[in-house]
Amino acid sequence: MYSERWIGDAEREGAERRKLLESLALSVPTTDPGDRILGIYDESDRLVGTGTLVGATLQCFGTLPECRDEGIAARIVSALVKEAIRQGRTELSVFTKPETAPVFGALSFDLVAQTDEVALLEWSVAGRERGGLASYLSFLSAVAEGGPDGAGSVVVNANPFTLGHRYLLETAAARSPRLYVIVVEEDRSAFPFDLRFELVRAGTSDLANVSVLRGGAYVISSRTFPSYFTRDDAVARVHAKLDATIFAGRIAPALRVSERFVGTEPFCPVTRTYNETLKRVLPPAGIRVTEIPRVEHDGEAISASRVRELIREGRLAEARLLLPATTYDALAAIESGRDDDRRSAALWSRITRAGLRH
Amino acid sequence: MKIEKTANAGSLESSDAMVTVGPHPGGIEIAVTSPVDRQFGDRMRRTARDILAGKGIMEGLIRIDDRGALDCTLRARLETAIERGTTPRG
Repeated sequence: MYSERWIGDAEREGAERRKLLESLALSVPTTDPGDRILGIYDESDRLVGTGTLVGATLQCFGTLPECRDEGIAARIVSALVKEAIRQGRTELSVFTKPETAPVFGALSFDLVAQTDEVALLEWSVAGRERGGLASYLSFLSAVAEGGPDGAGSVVVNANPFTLGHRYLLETAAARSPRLYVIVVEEDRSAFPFDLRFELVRAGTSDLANVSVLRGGAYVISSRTFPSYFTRDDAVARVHAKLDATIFAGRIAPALRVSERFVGTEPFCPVTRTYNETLKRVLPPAGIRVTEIPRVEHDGEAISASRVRELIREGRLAEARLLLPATTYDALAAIESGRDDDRRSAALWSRITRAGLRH
Repeated sequence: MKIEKTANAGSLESSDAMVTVGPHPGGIEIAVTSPVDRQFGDRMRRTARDILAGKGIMEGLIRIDDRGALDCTLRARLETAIERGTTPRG
């Protein structure tokens, strides 16, 4: 008979888990205090299986080879799902190796996409027809209904929306019958999603064939691309490929997109890796990738990170030269309102806080 | 009555079922995943509807992840999950 319990951080059990994962040639990522690590033990209190809940993601599974086919995977997944539900989560995902994906398929998880290195599966309390990816794809299909074939697409974080983004979108819009601008929805940037989205919309409102859409959980999100938001560059390549695969196989078909535009990336290594990955993954799926050179100001490529730096240093007037009027006006209003209203004060302190990556 | 919060009961282990419920303004939605969905899916949905109706619940999501549970097991899991989902706190 097996028993289960949560593995604490500093216990000998932590070392046992590491040994188990290593014996299976699995990597042992560092864990955060909020992660919930489950252990399954046999009668002699030997660890035979483990899995971890990180936010809404189930990962880091391992079971001793001699104990497989004994329902241990079902037991681990059950416990992790129940813990996630207890925390109030309604949409869960699994990161695993492609060869293990069928195990989770049999445990009610649905495959979102897989590459040669990783598979992403999901489970939603709303069910496979209404929850998760299905719900996002039906939103996209509704947007694209009546729209043209061969549309273009750009994905932006726009943190915040600069003249660089404006140039990219203007150029792409001029070359596409319709341009879908997908704004990364994950709220882990200095500028909150609502504001980023609003500034993209305001900054493109004069371009008649542009539609601005939210990225949901499937375009550069913590679900598809967790390393984009952390500093784990080693796995960024793996996640980039998964994200590109989801775009090529699921998102582009729903929007009938046949060209993706990206800006050249002079600064950020993760974004550069992502662009390179798009160029490898998208064309075989019939989607062209067109790189548009960054627009420069005073001999330097305009970047949102430079704008954030100027704002942090209190040089909003200089940042103005890199921003469309819509963005500048919004920022100036937040800055001047920060002594009078709470919302502006909170926004301004978030925007000027250092340390967020994108 | 309605489902107030996300809650569940049961497990994904063989011969069991995991029932998860959640709030859903505007009606009842029942989703079933099961290796025997084609033979028994409708029966499981009917069982869920009967139990909801018996408790007077008009709004909620019910997800049944069946792993070959007997009808009595499924009923027990449904009862418990709904009970947990309609209890305001705890």
